[in-house]
Amino acid sequence: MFRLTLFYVVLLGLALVPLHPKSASVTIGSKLFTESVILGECVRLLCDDAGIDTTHYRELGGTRILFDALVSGDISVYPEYSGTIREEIFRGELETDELIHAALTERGIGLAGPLGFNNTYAMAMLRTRAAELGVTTISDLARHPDLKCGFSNEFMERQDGWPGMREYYDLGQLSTKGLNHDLAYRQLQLGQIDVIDAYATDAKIAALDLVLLEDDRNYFPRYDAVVLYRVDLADQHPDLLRLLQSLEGGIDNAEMVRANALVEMDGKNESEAAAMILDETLGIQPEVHQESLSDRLFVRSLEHIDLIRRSLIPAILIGIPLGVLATLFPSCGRMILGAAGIIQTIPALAMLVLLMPLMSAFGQASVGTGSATAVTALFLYALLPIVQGTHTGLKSIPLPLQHSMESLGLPLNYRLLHIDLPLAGASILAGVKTSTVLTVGFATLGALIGAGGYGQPIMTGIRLNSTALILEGAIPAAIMAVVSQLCFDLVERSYSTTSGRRT
Amino acid sequence: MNSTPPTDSLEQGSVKFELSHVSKFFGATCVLNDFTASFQESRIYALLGLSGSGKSTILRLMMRLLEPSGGQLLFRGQSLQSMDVLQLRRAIGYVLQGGGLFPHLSARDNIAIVARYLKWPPAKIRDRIDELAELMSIPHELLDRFPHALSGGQAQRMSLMRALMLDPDVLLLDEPFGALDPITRHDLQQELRPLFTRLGKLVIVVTHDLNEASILSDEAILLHQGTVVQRGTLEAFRTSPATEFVERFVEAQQAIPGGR
Repeated sequence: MFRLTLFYVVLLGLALVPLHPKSASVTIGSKLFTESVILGECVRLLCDDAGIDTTHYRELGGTRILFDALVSGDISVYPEYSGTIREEIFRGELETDELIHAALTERGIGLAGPLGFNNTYAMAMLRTRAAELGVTTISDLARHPDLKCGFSNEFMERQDGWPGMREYYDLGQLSTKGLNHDLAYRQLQLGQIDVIDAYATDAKIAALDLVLLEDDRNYFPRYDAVVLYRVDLADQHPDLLRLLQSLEGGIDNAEMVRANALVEMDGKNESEAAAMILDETLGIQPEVHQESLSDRLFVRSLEHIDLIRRSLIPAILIGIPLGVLATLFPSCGRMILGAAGIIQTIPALAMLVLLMPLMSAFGQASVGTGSATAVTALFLYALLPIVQGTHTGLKSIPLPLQHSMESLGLPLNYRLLHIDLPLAGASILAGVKTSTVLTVGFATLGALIGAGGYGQPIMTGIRLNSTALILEGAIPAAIMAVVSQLCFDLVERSYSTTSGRRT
Repeated sequence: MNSTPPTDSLEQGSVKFELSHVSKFFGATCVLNDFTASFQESRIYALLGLSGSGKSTILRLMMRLLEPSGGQLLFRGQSLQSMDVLQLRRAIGYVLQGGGLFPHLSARDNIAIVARYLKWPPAKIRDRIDELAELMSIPHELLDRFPHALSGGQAQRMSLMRALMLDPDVLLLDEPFGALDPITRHDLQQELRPLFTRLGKLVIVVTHDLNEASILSDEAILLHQGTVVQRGTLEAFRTSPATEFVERFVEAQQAIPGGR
C-alpha cells in the first residue's frame, strides 16, 4: 500500500511539472483581433532588436482577461485603447485622464503613448458615393434623410453607438437596419446601403476605397492606441520604457490601416506587418523569423500533448479513487457524481474566466502557453467520464462475485486493488478513453486564453477567416483524437483477452 | 442412498457454531425468525427449504456478511460481534452457486489469493495447491486456466479448493451444485461425502434438494418462511413429517425421480 501511494504521488508530481518553464523576462499579451496582435508584435520585435528576451502570448482574450493578467503579473505589456481603459476597465467612473493615470499607478501599471492613431467608431461610405452627395462629415448626413444605414448589431445597441449618435446629431429620419459586419461591407459595395459603422483603422477602408466621415461635433470618444506595462518591469528593464516611448506618436491611422490590410487582405502575417510599421516609423529593420509549417506543427503538437498530459493524468489518478469513494459511500457518491456532472455543463469560456482569478490567487500562471487555468479546466472536464466509468464498473460486478469476495476475509484496500478494480477495469478503461478523446478536442479551447496547442491556429483562422489556418489546427487535433481512440481500442482488446470473458 | 444416520457418528465433537434466537429483518420483512441451533465439529448439516426460506441468510449471518436483527451467534464459544470480522471469514470456507471464481484471475491465482495476502512463501502456496488438487482430483494443467475455460464441475472443484486453502474449521456451501448438470452433480456429491468425513470439518450445506441433503449430510434442518419446521434425520422427514408443509416438501421431490 505504501509503495502504491508513493507511485501515485510520484506520477502525479511528474504529471504536474510544466514542460516549458517560464524563462522569458518580458511577456507580451495581445487581444483577439489583428491590430492588437500586430502591435504586440511591434513590441516584441523592438525588444528583440534591443536584445531583451520576450514571449508574445497572441490572441490571449478580451480586455478583462488581459488587464487581469497584467495586474497579476502573468503578462508584463499589452496594447490597449484609451477609450477602453476609460469605459470598460474603469466603467466610465473616472472622469479625467489624471484620475485614470492615478488609478493605473495604484495598480502598478504604467501607460506609454498614445501611439498616434485613434481607432474609434466611425461612419464609412464609398468614396464615390460620398463625393457624389458631397458628404464629408456626420452632420452632413442630416441633409440626406433618404440614405440607408446598415449598422452592426453591437453598434445599434450600445448607448454610445447609434442611439446616442442619432440624438446627438439629430439623425432621426435616417433608415437603419442591424446586420452582420461582413455582410454590411458587401451590401455597401453593391449599393444596397450607403453608410456603415466601422473601426477607424479597419483594413477594408483602404481595400474597398472607403472614406470616413469626420466626427465634426466630437461625438465618439477617443480610442487612442496606448501600451500598458507593469511599472516593476520597467524598473528591471529601463530600456523597455525607452523602447515603448519610441513608438509614441509614430503610427497614424493610414499606417495602421495599411498594416491591418497587409494581414487581412494580403495574407501576410502579423510579424511582417509589425516589421513594416517599425521600418516606416523608426527605420528599424528587424529580423522576422518565418516558421515553417512543420516547425509550427511540431511546437503546437508538443504544447497540445503537454496540456493533455498535465490534465488527463491527474484526472485519472484522482478520478478513479473518487469513483471508488462514490461506490463505497453512496450518499457521498451522489454528491461526487452530481458535482462532476455540473462541471461538465459549465461552458468552456465561463470555466476559464472563473478559474483565472483562482489560479492567480494560487500564484499560478493564469494565462499563456500551458497556463494552469487551461490545465485545471481540462482536468475538471476529464473527471466525469472517469469517475462514472469507475463507479459503473464497480457497481456492475455481479452479486455472486461480490459475495464471493466479501467472504474471503480480505481487507478492503487489498480487495479493491486485486479484485474489484481489475473486475471494473473494462468500464474504467472506457471512461479513460472517453476522457482522453474529449480532452484532445477540448484542449483546443485553451487557445481562448492563449494556452497554445492546436487551438491557436484555429483561433487565428477564425479571426482572419482563413480556412487553411483553421485546418492547420483542426486536422492534427482530429488525427490525435482518432489515434488515441485506436490506441485505447488496442489496449481494450488485449485487456479483454488477458482477463478472460466477464461472467 | 447411503445417508449416514446420526446414530452412526457417536463421537460428540465440540460445538463450533451456536445460534440462539437469531432473527433477521429487512425493513418490515422477516427473513429469519427466532432461529436456534448448534453446529458441531466433524458433522455435516443440510439447511433445507424453498427459495426465500431464510437458509442462505443463516450462512451470511455466520460470516457477518449480514448482522442479525436479534439473538446471538457464537463461534468457538465467542460472540461473533466481538471477533475480528476478517479473521472470522478466513476461518470459514465459503462456496456458492456457480463457484464465484474471479474471471480476471487464473484458477491458481483464485485459489491462492488469500494466502498471498497473508504472505505465505510461494513454495508453501504451491505445495498446498498441489495437495488440494490431488484431494479434488484436479489435473495440474487445469490450474493455469482462467475460469471461463473451465467446465462447471471443474470450476466448482476449484472453488472448493479456494475455500479449503487456509484449512478452515468450517465449510459453508450455498447451493454449491445448483448450476451443474445432473451427472456432474451426482459425481461430485458422491465424491465429496467421504472427503468431508475425512477432513473432519463442520460442513453446512444449503440446498433445496432432498436427495443432495441425504447424500451429503448427517442431519437436516428444514426452514419455511424464516422458521424451522423440522430438524433431524431425513428418514424422520419421510416417516413422521412435523407439518403438512414437510409432507409436501418430501412428496414433491419424490414425485420427480432424481430430486428437483
